[in-house]
Amino acid sequence: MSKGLIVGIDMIPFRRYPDRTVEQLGGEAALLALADAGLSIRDVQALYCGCSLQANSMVGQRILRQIGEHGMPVLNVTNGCATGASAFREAVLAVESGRHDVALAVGVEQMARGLIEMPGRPTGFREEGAIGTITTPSMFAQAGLVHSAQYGTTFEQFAKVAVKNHHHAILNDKAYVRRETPLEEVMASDMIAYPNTKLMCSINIDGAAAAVVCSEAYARKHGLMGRAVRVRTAASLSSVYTDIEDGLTDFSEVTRATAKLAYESAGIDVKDIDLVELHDCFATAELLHYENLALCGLGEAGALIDSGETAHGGRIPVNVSGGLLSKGHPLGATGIANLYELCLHLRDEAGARQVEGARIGLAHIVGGIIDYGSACAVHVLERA
Amino acid sequence: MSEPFPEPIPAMPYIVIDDGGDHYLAGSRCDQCGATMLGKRLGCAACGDGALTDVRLNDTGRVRTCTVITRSYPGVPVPFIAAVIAIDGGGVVRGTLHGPIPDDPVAEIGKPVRISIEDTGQRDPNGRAFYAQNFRPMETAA
Repeated sequence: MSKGLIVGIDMIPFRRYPDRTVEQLGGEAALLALADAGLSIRDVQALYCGCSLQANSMVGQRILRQIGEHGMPVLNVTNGCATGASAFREAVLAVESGRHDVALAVGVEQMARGLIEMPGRPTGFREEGAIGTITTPSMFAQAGLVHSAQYGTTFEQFAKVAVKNHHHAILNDKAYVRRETPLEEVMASDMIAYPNTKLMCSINIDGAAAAVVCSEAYARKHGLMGRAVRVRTAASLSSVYTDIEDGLTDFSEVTRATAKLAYESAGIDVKDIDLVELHDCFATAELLHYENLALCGLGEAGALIDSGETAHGGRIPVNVSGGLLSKGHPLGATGIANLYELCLHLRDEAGARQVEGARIGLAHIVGGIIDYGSACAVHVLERA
Repeated sequence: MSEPFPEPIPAMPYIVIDDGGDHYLAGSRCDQCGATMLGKRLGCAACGDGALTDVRLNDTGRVRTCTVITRSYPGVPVPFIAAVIAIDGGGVVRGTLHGPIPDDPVAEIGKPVRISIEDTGQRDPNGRAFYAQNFRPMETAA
């Protein structure tokens, strides 16, 4: 089976776009990705559209009304924070299966400010505060404090993630937050759920990203190999049972299982990876995922952030885009935006933030809702 | 003749309201792998194979993790301690830990708590009280 190739990919700057619609944002990203590939919507044979918060309103079809309706299958995808990555994976599978030569994946979201509202109880009972919490920063705060209790990981070490990622974003004009945030400022900003302060939380924002995936035969026939990026693996797992999940969605176990599957199916070792874009929805999450993705051993994440090895120029740079903490986190768009960042580096087109000599990159995303479950995707990309 | 006292109702499906006031958390235990799950399931979430037996979960446990919530949804009083409790004998449940707000929530992890099913103060449209689990440190439990 031939691997799918990314031949066009782009994202719009993540911002607040109150005067635009979700289909306009998604359509713009789609046109940018098609232009990047040198293709037209008429070349596309299937659309996979990820949008979480408007999942019941045919966003993919609305995008085609904006950019061209020539008749193609559309699948609207929702999968928590992994929505965009899941849509992309479906596009890859469609191409790799031989069903389509060219597929388009779009991830898009428009979001309200503040904490994400969770589904309520049909009885009208309001859980928050009465039986603990269901907010997203608190989920990752509690997961982080499990690590603190086990390994002594400190508030300061978690806060260093925000310092690093905000520093990275200085060089990314598509990121929303682009300023240095010294450690003292991160730790002194408003506490949301200990140890996650406001500057350690990703921002709910509007955004869109899109990718054009095609077969290698199609790319060769149409002269698209020059900037192609190969999808070495598209791994996804959900809801791996652990005994904490009746109290807290377990984002770690599902990430470990998905990463293991990704490394095995890609036939690579973690040492082969040149850069990582991982799901730093909250600063605590990034440290947990260092270990979950096997960038270091269990209990070593605190030391890894202290070492500077995950900063740009380090042994294994993580989130050189600035991560979700800087770009913002428009749920449906994030997964494809992570892949866009990898492609910039693998194509040697990342400008001032280029990771020199990058050949293989890993993108990770994981989401979930308390009492519901999790969704994780790990993609490994390489220069074609 | 006085108005009948509206019967309390469980706020969550895994709560059992007992006529005699002996409320408790209900669970399911897998006959094959031994996993204990909160509430009823159609099959075992852990192994997918075993038959399930209804069990009454204990009213004591230990803090598995927690945090202090200082920003929540509009109208929700803060700060409060959100905790996940490993129930003695099996099962896990989340809820609010009542007690002094700690400077370092990590220090709360591992501490024993008592679990009680109590009036949350919330009412349904018919005036019935929603009852749910509360956690209190064992030292100060009533």
